[in-house]
Amino acid sequence: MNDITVRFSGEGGEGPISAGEILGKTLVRSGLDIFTFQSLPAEIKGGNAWYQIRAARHNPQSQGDLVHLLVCWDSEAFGLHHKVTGTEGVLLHDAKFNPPIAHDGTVYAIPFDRISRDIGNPRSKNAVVLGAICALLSVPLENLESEMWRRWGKAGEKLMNLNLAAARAGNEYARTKVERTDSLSLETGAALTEMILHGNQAITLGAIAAGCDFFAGYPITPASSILEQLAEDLPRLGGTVLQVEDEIAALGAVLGGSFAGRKAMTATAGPGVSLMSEMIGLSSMAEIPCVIVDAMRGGPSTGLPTKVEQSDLNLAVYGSHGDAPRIVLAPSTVEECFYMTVDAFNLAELCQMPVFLLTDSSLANRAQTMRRPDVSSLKIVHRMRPADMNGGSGTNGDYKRYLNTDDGASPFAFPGQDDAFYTATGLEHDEYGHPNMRPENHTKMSVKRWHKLEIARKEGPRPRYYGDDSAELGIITWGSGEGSAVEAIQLAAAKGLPVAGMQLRMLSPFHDDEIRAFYDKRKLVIVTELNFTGQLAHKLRGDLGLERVVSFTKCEGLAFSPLEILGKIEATASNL
Amino acid sequence: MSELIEIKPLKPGDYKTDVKPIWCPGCGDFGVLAALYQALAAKQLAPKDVVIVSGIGCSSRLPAFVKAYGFHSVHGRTLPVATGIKSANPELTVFTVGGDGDSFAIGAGHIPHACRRNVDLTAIVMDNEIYGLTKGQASPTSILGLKKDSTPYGTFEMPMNPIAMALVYGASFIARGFSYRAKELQQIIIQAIDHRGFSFIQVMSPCPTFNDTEEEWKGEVTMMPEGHEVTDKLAALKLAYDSERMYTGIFFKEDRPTLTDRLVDNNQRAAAKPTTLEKLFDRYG
Repeated sequence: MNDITVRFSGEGGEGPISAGEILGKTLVRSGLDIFTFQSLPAEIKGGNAWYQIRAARHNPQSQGDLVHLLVCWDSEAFGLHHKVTGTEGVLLHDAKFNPPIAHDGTVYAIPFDRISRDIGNPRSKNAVVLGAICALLSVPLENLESEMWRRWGKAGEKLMNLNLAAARAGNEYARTKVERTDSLSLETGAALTEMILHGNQAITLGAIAAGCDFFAGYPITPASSILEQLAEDLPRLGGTVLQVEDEIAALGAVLGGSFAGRKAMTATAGPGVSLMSEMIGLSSMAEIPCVIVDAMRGGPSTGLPTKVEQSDLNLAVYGSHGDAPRIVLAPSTVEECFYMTVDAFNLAELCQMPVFLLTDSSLANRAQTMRRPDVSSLKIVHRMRPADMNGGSGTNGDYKRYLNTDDGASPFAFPGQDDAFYTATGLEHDEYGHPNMRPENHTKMSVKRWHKLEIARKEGPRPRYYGDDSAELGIITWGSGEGSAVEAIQLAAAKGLPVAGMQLRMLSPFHDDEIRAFYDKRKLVIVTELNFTGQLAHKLRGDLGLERVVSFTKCEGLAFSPLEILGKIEATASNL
Repeated sequence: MSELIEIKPLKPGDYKTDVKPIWCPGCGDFGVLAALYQALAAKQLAPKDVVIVSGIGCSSRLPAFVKAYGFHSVHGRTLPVATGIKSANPELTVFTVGGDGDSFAIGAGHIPHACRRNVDLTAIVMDNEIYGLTKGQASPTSILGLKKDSTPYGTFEMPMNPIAMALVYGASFIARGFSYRAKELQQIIIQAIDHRGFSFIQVMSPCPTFNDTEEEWKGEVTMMPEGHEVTDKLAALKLAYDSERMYTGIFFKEDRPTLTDRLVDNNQRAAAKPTTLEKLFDRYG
């Protein structure tokens, strides 16, 4: 096999997630690209948690559909997940419990618990499981062992030796005592040299590459690891990180930092953005650059804190009172998390307004392989300063912070550095920043602020296309579900059903012309998104007047799979 | 040959802008603004190195009247914004200004955190015990039973004690001034600027339009008793709870590391593990 999907399922805190992470890295060491998906309970301990790894010889784009190997830690996991293997896959479970329900496919029971006790360390059960899986998948055991050293090596040789013994015992048991009726053997190769990381980790690297030197945040699932990683890394590079008292303070401190000349960012989830909405308007009105990462989760209210959803689009595009311009970007892969964080900072500097990076729980926690970036090829920009005015001769003593330039962006003075003071204000103001409520001024300054979105249309990430451009049926996707759509289009093509695909990477402002051009060539366009109301479909209908739009939504706290989208393609194609 | 440049000392009037204050005649905030001009001149602070952050309310319009950098932000959020500014550039002299509604109602949640961080800035609260800009509703410091449009039968909430609150939260410099005692207020602001850490100044600043307390307060304000030890927090608390007199002057002062100090220390510890972007890439390789 060269494309396999493995799911680990068990009680949260018992090991399915960490075992999944270790297997993922072991597979990368064995020459495979991976794509993972996790579903966690909202509690620290207890509740079913599962981790799925798709591994393939070349860049899998989704978490996959049929599970080839399901590993169940307990009876509950067996009952909840046994159907995902179908009759072709293999279900592996701990021999300490009997299957709670009949299963038609291949089932292997291995005494993980007993083997780990025999070794002398009951807590090494996960190592037994991983050793056994290496045997079943024909993955070299030494690749697992090197990953275990990397991860647990610091815990000391004694504990490490127990874990290694456990892995070897599990491996031996699976090789010699399991009567195989499957064909799971994986084609492995030399280790890949690419990076493997989560979406949140890629965002921290993108921020550093873009020159971010200020971060303020408040812990929230699933964005906290951005705060944690930057708290470790930014100070090492001379930057500043503050954990503050709430999300209002987080964006407040970010705007203060940016006002003082820093490249500043915060990261949160929907509830945090709700609290930030007044500050978002201040950023728009006072024209202060900032980057806001919204790692979306199920809503509304506290919703489904650990599950994936794409239901903050409306909040990101419209949240805050008044007409408050902002830019909204949505990466779809870990690699795009890196590059589009750079885009977000550049657009914030150029347009001097809030820039959202909309990710979600699945992308935040997804481990995915990515090519190492060539930093020297990245374009990094900085906001215009008073000294840049008039061909570099400066403001000549007449500094207008909100000067109405051709593209709307004005020279930004830094306190302590530029002798060009002004008062930034959320009140409507004139070009000097002086409060001004006159009718013609409000119109003029609104035009100025909104006109800056043309810069974003020019410089912002353009849509990506795939599939068959001559097809009558189209699919528009955004965010983390794009890969499933790409694979669904490939599956449809294999069945003789041509489909054209477009991934929107900037959701506000739209690249109107490109979307219209794509739409005009189709009889019907399916819009896929993980929310209840079809927020992007509504926006396409409302902003661009598109009528031949079929909204395809999913509201389960789970990601789209390629087969689900293929089903929608087939059903829609029959109506063409 | 060296060139001599004559540097003229800055006078209080040099900090005035051409934006006219929007305040009513007789507003106590004029006294605060004048004391601030005096203090800035006394410290000879260059306008480019000063940032005044405000929230929303009558007193929050102050930054536009001072030749310096200003940030007129949103209601109640002066402290987070100012914390961001100060930690982004510790060389700046940072003030927050606002009223009792801005500071003690909508923004009260930020005070304990500014105190525990000991962020090096001067917070000036112009307290008139009323909401002025929204035309006279009771505020968190309004006296119990005050009858106003939003409390037609009188308020039924105890007024806050801002000085006691700042003491308990751990502000490292706590003082009270009165708009009509210009010299004293000016001296308090100068000492607050000199203090390294979070300086909290409650200025009793009457609103002649919606809650005219000028005469009443003139009768209540009392100089800090002779011999009050400013490092004695319990003595300061007793003075803060005095129900007869409204003491002005410095209640409490202590030296302890500021947010700036802590951030420098934090970054020094982080720098023991130097890195580069390429090395961070290696971590995921």
